[in-house]
Amino acid sequence: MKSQAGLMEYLLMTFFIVVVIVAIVLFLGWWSVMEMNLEQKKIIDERAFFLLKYSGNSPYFTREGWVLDDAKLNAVKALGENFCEKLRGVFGSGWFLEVRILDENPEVDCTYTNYPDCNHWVLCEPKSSGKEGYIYTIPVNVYRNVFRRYDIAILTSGVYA
Amino acid sequence: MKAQTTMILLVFLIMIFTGLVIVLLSLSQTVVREEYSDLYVNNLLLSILKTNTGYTDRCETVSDLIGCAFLTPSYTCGGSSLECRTLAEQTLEEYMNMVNENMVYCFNITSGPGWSSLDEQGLYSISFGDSSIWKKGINRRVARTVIQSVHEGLEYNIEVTLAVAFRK
Repeated sequence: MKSQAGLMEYLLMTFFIVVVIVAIVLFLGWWSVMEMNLEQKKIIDERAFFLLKYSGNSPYFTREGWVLDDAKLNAVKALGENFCEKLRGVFGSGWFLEVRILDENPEVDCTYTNYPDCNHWVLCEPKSSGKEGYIYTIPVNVYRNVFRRYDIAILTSGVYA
Repeated sequence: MKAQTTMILLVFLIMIFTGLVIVLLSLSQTVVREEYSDLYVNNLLLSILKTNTGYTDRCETVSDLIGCAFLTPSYTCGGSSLECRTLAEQTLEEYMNMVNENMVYCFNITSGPGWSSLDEQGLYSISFGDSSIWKKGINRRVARTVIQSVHEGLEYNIEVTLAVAFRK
């Protein structure tokens, strides 16, 4: 009888230990999947931040550091897909840039026909494509070549997940 | 007795496991990118200073306007009926609200390095915005730069400090 009770205790202990070990294994498995997802998000986040820093200092868009040139923005926009395709070699696919001059006027997209009476540029994949993304915004200046003045603007960079 | 020891060991094992879960979960919290916050505030300051105001004379850019407010606060710039100090306060408020309405800010303007006396003219320290941001315990970001302003043929260095705290 005593040996049976001892055997039951051992069986119970073994069962608990197995349950705990299984729980640990499951948790570590779940954790590594979570870590991989997190790492993937971090990489996309890094890309969005790099895109922000690159566009704020690239001679393609700027006159000097963090001062964008409206004529260059218009020219790049006119190049359209060709330009985006070239930059996809650097940044990968699924990204966009947006510049909005902060004035009291309503938002007017810049094209070749309405320049310089406009205040908004979207380059490459438009923001409204409905995908989840990582977005950074930063205040910058835009030099208005025709008016010869510096305006304050918001530069937005985004990478889709 | 042996079963009791095993039970205690098991409890320890569960405690270690729980601790591990807590530590790993706390590590996975989203870390706010420090580099981005600093870059944002620094760019905010430099961009605002460089922006053209639309006024003429000593107030062409925000930087000029701050210089005017500091060196000759009662001067009235071309295109405005307001004195430089009032105009600077209004202009900064307007730009800061345009950039982001969800932040508290304070500009501190002080005499910069190599400062020489203005012979009883001008101010030695002014601030625009909410100065309560400097209180202890407020999570704020600070950016600083030196601007040059010319007054009566002399060049003055003026230090501009911007502190920003974001409302949640």
